[in-house]
Parts: sequence; structure tokens; C-alpha cells
Amino acid sequence: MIVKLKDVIKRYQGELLALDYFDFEVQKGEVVGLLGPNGAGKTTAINAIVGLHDVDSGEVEIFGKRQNGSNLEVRRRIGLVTQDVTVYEHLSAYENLLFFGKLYGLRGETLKRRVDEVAELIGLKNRLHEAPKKYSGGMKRRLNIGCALLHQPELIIMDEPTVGIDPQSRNYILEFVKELAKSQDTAIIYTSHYIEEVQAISDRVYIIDQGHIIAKGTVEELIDKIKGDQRITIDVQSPNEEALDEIADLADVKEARLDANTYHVVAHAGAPVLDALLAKLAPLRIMNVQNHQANLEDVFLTLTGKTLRDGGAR
Amino acid sequence: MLRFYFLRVIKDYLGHIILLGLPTLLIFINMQIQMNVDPDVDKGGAALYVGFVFILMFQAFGAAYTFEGIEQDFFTPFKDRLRAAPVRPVWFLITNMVYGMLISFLQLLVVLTFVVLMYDATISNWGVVVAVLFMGVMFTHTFASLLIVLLKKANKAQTFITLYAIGGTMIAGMFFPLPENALTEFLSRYSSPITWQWISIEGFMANDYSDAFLGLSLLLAAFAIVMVLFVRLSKRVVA
Repeated sequence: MIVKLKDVIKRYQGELLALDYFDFEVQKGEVVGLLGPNGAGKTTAINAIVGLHDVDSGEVEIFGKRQNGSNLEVRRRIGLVTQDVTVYEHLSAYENLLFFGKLYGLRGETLKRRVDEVAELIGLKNRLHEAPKKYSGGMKRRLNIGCALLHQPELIIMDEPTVGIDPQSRNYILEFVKELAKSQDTAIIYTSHYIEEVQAISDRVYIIDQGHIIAKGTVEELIDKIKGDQRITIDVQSPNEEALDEIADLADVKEARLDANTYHVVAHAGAPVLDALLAKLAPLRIMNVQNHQANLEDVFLTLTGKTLRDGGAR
Repeated sequence: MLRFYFLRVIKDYLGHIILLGLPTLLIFINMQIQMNVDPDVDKGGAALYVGFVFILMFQAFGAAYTFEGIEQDFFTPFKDRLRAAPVRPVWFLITNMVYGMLISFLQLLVVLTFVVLMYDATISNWGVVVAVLFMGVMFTHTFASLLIVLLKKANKAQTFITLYAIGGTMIAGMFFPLPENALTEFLSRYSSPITWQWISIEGFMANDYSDAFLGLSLLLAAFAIVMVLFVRLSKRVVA
């Protein structure tokens, strides 16, 4: 076992409950997604694992040892990719990589070789001697990740590593995270509030909200939990709240919400609800109707009554 | 790691031009004015006086290196990345301070060399004088580090240290003469660590050891107090 958290409780200022009997495990070589909205407790969990914060109670074990925050040997085996880009803007990418490599004990030829390898991996080899202040957001993010990979950690923790970057850079990062886990047998904890990312790369997923683990398992297992439901979206030209109330009151409708011009409806499996929905919404001029495949967003919605991104619920 | 910090500091070219070039430029301009007003002015003595004033003032400005480094490493998201590394955080604090001090020390050497070579200034007991100034650099950078630990923002610390540097030299009568009375006499000797350095330097250069050691003792006491406070307060930062 690489990481094990058991019944962990963490409060801020003695009151705000950030982690509430939090249980979490990571095995060697697996990519574990930690999915939850902003403020759910993902970064707090990471800080507890890395040893940046003490916890109020519970057990935090890493590499089979109790995490007390002061064990430098344990720190040497972890690579932390911070949520914010933390590279020195006025030093070149090469100098940044050298610095973080040295910080983790690499020296001489080994350091140079690793800088070359990592530069290749993150796709910055041709612009290695430029300062990151000249980079795009995506390139900075890649350098930010590269700085955590130099020492070949056994556990890489990526805290929202793709926030604020273009889709092309995001895909690049996701591909090399998958490659990294496959080729080096590295355990990866990947936190995000982007469902599609977590769904694409994780062997297992923990869904977290308000400090609680609300579900865990493989993506398939989690989607199986809500498989019985029908998920229907209907776009209309002139939406209104009264229609939403009427839909919510229909027999077999479990949930209904309105998001701009789109009604999202969750109904019991097999229930003949579509005709009733179309009848209710026809006066609003229906533009499009979809029955879609369940994903982790639906799992989160079903379990919490909230959407991951905006916390809106009904 | 030490070499990296040197690299980080040395790459701030604009900062170096300001810290190393500006005092010498200001001394040059000041001396041109003085020599135009009075062609018989004692160039060496005048240049040395102006040089000391700028050294005392700019050592506080040089402290910006220290607190900007500490701010970045301990009060921005860098904090988590560095604290996650297998290095005791106190080393980041120490290296920031040491390199800030080295830059200020280099600055005072540049200024003294400039006034000696350019204006034939003579510095009696120069070794001790440089040592007192270095003690002042250590005090100022420790004081700056204490400020950033307390205020957590480099711009706030910068405002405070600027007021200290300009205010300290002004009320000591170093920029322009103050009316002669007991209060201004007291302020010019005892108002701040800037004046304590000043009376110590003047004392050593004039072989007046009572003043020399009085200023040095006050400076050492201030350094000890600031260091104790800094060590206590910085524990929560590096914990």
C-alpha cells in the first residue's frame, strides 16, 4: 500500500470540517482520481498525505509509515504538482528543472540525464532555455509537472494540474499521465473537478463532497450504481420555472433542473415519462431531445443533488 | 541549493543596476554639485560622507532582496512545493537572508571603492569601519526578515523599510542640516540603528573609541533583540 488514510478528521480554525472520517487508499501503479467540486476537501486530503498539514484525528500512512510531516526520506519519494504554477518565472525552464532536481538530491550526470528525459516527456526540449514567463499557460503547466517528475517519485500527486489551459495542452498532459503510470509503475493521485479527465485516466475514483467520500470504485462500478435511471435533456426556446415545477411533479421523475435553455430530467428506468415530458414542454417550443449515457457527473448529481461545477441543485 | 539562490538573485539585473549603480551615480552627481559650488571642497572627505549616507540608506533598500525571496518562498503557493521537498524549510529562510546580506555587503564595498578611487577618500581604520557596516547590514536584513514574517506582504514591508531608511537618515540630519538644539543632537546620535552605525563609524575613523563602541554596542543589542524576535516568530513560518 502506497497511501492509506483511515477515519481522518481535519478542521480549520477548529470549526470548519474539511475532512470528515475520510478513508482513502492508493496501491502501487494505479491512478486514483479524487473528484469533487471546489472546496470539497481535495487539497486538504493531499496536504494530509504529503504532510503539509496535521490532521485532528485518524491515521495517515504513506509507504507503510505514519506521516508526521518531518520524514525527509518519505518526502523524497513523493512528487507534488501544485494547483498553482510554482516555477521561477525569470529563470529558464532548464534552470527550474535543475533546481528542483537538486532539491530532491539529484547531482551530476544523473541530474543532466533526468532533465533531458523530463524535458522530452513534457514536450519542452526545444524551448528549454527560455524563461517560463514567455511560455503559454499550457507550457507552464507542463513545466510545473516536469519539476515534480525529475526524481522519479514512487507517488505523484497532481492537484488540479490542468486548470486554466487549452484543450490541446490538457490532452497532452492526460496522455503523458497515462503513459507515466503505465511505463514506470508509479502511483498517481489526480484531483480535478473536470469529470472527463478523471473518467479518462483513473483506475479508481473517489468522489468527495464537503469532506466526505460519497462514493468510490472504478468508473464502471460508479456508473453502475445509477444505471437504472433515465437521463433526458430537452432544449427549449422559451424556458420557465413553472414548467420545471410541473415536470418535477410528474410520476417517475426523480430529479429535474433547468440550466439556461435546457431541462435536465432523471427518471426511473423504463418509466414511460418521455411522452409526458414532451407534452409539458411542447408550448415552450422544443428544439432538441437527448437520452444520454450516464457519467461521473450523473453519479455526483444523483448522490449529492448538486452539479460538480456550480453546485446548483434541485 | 545555495548556488541556485545566488542564481536567482543575480538574475535580477535591474535590481543590481539600481542597488550597485544608483548610489555611485548619486554620489557622482552630488560631488559635481559640491565642487561647482565650492571648488576648494575637501573632495575625499565630502565624497566619503555622502558615500556613508547612501550606504546606510541603500542597505535598507537592499533588504528588498531578502523579503521578496522570503515572501515568494513562504507566503505564496511556492510554500507547499518547497515544504513538500526533502529539505528543512529553515534553509530556504537562511539562504534568502544570507544572499540578501551578501548583495548589500557587495554594495557597500562598491561604494567605498568608488569614493576611494574616484575622489581619493581616506578611510581610517577601514577594516573596522567595513565590519561595523556589515554588522549594520546584518541588522537591517534581519529586521527586514522580521517585517516580512509579521506583515506577510513584501510591498507592505517595502513601505515600512523605505520609511525607516529615508526617515532614519533625515531625522539624523544626514541629508540637510537640522536646527542645533538638544533634541536634534539627541536624534542625530541615538534615533535609530542608522545613527548608531554612523556614530560608531565616525568614532573608529577619529579614534574616538567611546563613541565607536557606544554605537557598536547599541547596534549589537538591537541586532540581538531583532534576531531573538525573528527566530521566535519565524518558527510558525517554517513549521
